[in-house]
Amino acid sequence: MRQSLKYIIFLVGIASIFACEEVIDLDINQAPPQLVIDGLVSNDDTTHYVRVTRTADFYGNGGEDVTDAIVQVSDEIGNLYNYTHNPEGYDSLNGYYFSDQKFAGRTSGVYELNVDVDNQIFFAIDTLRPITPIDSLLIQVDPKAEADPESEGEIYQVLLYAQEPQETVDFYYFKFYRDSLLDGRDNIYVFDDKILGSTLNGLPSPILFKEGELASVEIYSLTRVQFVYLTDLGALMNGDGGMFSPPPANPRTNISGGALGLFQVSGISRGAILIVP
Amino acid sequence: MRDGNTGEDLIGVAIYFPVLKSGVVTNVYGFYSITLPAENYSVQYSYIGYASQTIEINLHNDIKKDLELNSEAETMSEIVILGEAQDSNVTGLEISTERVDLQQLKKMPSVFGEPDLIKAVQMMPGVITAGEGTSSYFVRGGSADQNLILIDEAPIYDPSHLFGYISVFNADVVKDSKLYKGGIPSAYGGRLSSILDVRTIDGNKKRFAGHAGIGTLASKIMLEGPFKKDVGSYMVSARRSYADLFLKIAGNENSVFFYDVNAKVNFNLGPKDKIYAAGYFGRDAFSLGGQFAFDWGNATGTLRWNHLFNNKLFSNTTFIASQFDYGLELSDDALGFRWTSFINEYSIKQRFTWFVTPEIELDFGYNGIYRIFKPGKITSNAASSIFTDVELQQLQALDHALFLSNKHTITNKLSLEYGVRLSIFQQIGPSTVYSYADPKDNVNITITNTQEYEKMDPIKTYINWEPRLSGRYLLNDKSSVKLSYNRMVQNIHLISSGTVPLPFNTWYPSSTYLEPQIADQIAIGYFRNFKENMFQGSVEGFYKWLKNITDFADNADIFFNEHIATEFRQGDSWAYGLEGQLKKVRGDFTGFINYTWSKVERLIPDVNQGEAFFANYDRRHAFNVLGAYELSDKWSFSTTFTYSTGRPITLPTGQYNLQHYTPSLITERNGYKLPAYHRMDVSAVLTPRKNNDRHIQTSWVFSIYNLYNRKNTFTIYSQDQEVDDIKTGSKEFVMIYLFPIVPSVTFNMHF
Repeated sequence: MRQSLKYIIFLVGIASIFACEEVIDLDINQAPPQLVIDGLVSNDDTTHYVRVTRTADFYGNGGEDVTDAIVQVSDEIGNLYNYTHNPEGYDSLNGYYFSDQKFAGRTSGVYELNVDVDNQIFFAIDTLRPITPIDSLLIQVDPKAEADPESEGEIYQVLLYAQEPQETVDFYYFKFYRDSLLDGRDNIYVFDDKILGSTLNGLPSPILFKEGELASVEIYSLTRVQFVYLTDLGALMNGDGGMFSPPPANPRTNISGGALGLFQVSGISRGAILIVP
Repeated sequence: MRDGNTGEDLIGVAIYFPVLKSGVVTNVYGFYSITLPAENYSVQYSYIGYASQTIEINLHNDIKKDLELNSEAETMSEIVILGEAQDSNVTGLEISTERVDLQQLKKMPSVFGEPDLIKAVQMMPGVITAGEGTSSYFVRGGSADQNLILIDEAPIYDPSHLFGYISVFNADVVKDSKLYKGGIPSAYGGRLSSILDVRTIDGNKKRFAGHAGIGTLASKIMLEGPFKKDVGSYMVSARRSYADLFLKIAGNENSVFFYDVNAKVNFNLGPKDKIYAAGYFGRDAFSLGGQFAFDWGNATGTLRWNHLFNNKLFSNTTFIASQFDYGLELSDDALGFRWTSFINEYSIKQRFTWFVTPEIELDFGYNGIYRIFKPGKITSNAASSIFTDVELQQLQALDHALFLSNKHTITNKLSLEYGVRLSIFQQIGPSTVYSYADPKDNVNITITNTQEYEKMDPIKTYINWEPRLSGRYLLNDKSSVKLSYNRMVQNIHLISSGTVPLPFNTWYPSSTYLEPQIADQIAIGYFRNFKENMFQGSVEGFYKWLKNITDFADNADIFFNEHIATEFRQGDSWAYGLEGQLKKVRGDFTGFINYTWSKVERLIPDVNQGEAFFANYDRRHAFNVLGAYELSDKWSFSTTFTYSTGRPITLPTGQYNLQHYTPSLITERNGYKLPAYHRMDVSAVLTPRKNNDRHIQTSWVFSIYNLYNRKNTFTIYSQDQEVDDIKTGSKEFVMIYLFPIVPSVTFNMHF
């Protein structure tokens, strides 16, 4: 909800009746490239990925892929997983490293990432928090959208039902898919359980669906550090340049050594429903 | 001293004895006192905008001379230019102080044709604005929360209506308004950078009068009159906007409106006592699409008693109550909530002014404030809401100040005002106070101790001395040099991490993890008048050192954070600058031109990698011009032009891929300057059939805001580029600008 508060603040500040917008070109000094590490270890039994790239100029198109890093993930019971860069050699997977073997992240397991780029070591450590399963999904028509839809037929909202353990401190990250494609907006839906009640009692999806589409939801469990990162990332991507909202800043990460990015360690719950009125 | 027409007490009238080459000035209650050897004297009374008077008196006993001055505008044809009239720019002891010329204010062009006090303040030298659409201003390297705004001694926490398009001050009821940027007398305190002291009119003591205005934005009405002629009077005024009514008629679900009411009564209880009661109430409400609503408002009340112990000892006792609150509401079946926040202030001020001898005037007293901070409460307003209620704990504080100062006329040429203010601040219970293992760790917050405090238990006490000094040396009767030093202490902090405070930013008291902010300022100036005080010029330089400036960690979570103490980062700031201004105060053509060069930086631990950065309100050049021309009895014109360097902004210096997002890379705080801001406004006032005998007088004000339609950048943000709703993978910058050219018409009626 703190998320929606921030959007509201932006809206209030900017959506005055007289605000006008215009795209402009700016000539700004660009910073030298910095390292970005983006990795995920989940409870799925699969080969997990770590992506290593560098930053690019603002007007550029994605940064350089780092193909010669040494990547390893280990856990607290002595397992060590080596990662190999782009084992199948696909052009689109340059910069991606995959674990040599499949493994499933254990609930409450502590996972450690080590990345060596030109003898500089970057390190992250985090815990896989338990994830609550989705009880059910229901469909309901959003009356406001029915009256004035943003897109033809996009009037169905999906309601999510799940239990939320009240005794532990938990953080959640929601992703919504339309026909297996991730919803493309920059909103990041993260919640901490202080705001949520004891059950997710019909949490409405933030996006609307059309009849015949397959609506799917993923809930990721997060630690506090990962929750802070994703909250900061959402603020960075939705800010107003520091007029009313805080000045933009890089998200606080669990990776030490000076790299950007996040080592995400999560349990995942999934659910899907076909939109049939 | 009173206005001949309305009986209003006049503030700052100069009473001058040419033979002695000395005099006094009336205080904020129109009162003055002077002790002289028994003789016959010629006394001059002068005040800007009023015809000066010279009278002869025989001083053999104590006498009480109440006088009435007549507004200059009515006696224009009889003006005799006197040698030493209206030279307070040079001879006055005040340095770094600007007074708003109210006659000029009413002719100044403005948005929607409503003359605005804060807009006039924003055009003064040494004052920087954040841009349009805000009532914030920054004085000599100070942030927006470092300005104390008083209406009849009561504090106004947010002076904006309609998000700052206009301010809470109704120009019809303002009698006097002074901005102290430096050389602040010890009777004032509580903020680091400025005091805006606004006094409202008491109400016509001679006859019933009024004023009504109908404009494109809002309408207003003001009524004033005596209870009993020359004994007591009242004033009441109200303003309301009606954009919401138009929107409703048009079937639009959005709504925006404000209203405000000023009311005052005063009585003479006898020759030695006067009492006043005044109040201000105002509210703003904004709703978007029937789903989202937002409202805020100030309410103040003051009760004052002036007492004359004898001819030399004047006392003012004031009781003040003030509240600022805001509310935010989202209507939604699952996500609905209401968020409210309050700050309440109750205070007592006791001030004595003792005219000991003609050379020594002592000013001393006590100011005690009790504040209640309710930083925030969220309740869900939907039956099946998924959210639980949250409330931040209420905080309380006591803020005491004792002050003493002396206005000392040392020689004919040298006068000093020196004094001190003692600030004693206490955060008090009931409260739950946390201790943290690392008070700066805002990711893993570790509480080492929780302490409970009962009602009125002191939690943390801060004691600070604030020395004040200003001096004026007359080089000759046309020019002077002035110097000042002051230390100001600010015990309450506005939690706002953007450049411009939103109405829903919250105030917090100093506490265990938040120290009072302190500012030291020195200023020196040269003041010169030309052509019998028709032109007034000055050049002033200042340097300000600030410590314990309250700033926030990167990505600070400042809303609804019980552990907000982990987000505070207090550091240093320093500012310096040079201001020059020239005013023409008489004649058919009047106006001013001013220029300010200033620079302000901050150094805050953990922010910008521990390196100094430009403050959000650092704008190198500011240039303002006002010209007003009285063509005839019917027509007058005015124009304003303002220019300032763009404010600094934090912009990306790269981008990268993370999961499916393309975030921006930030490497430097405030490394880029927005384009310069400049704008010209014009207005014309038509006063048809100006006839002194008729009791009703009408006028029309035609205004154009932003004459050449400049797209002034409000802010710039970055976003992913999209073509036909599909992201291209590239990023782009978007500029937001507010007002295009805005014409308006206002109709006014005086009766």
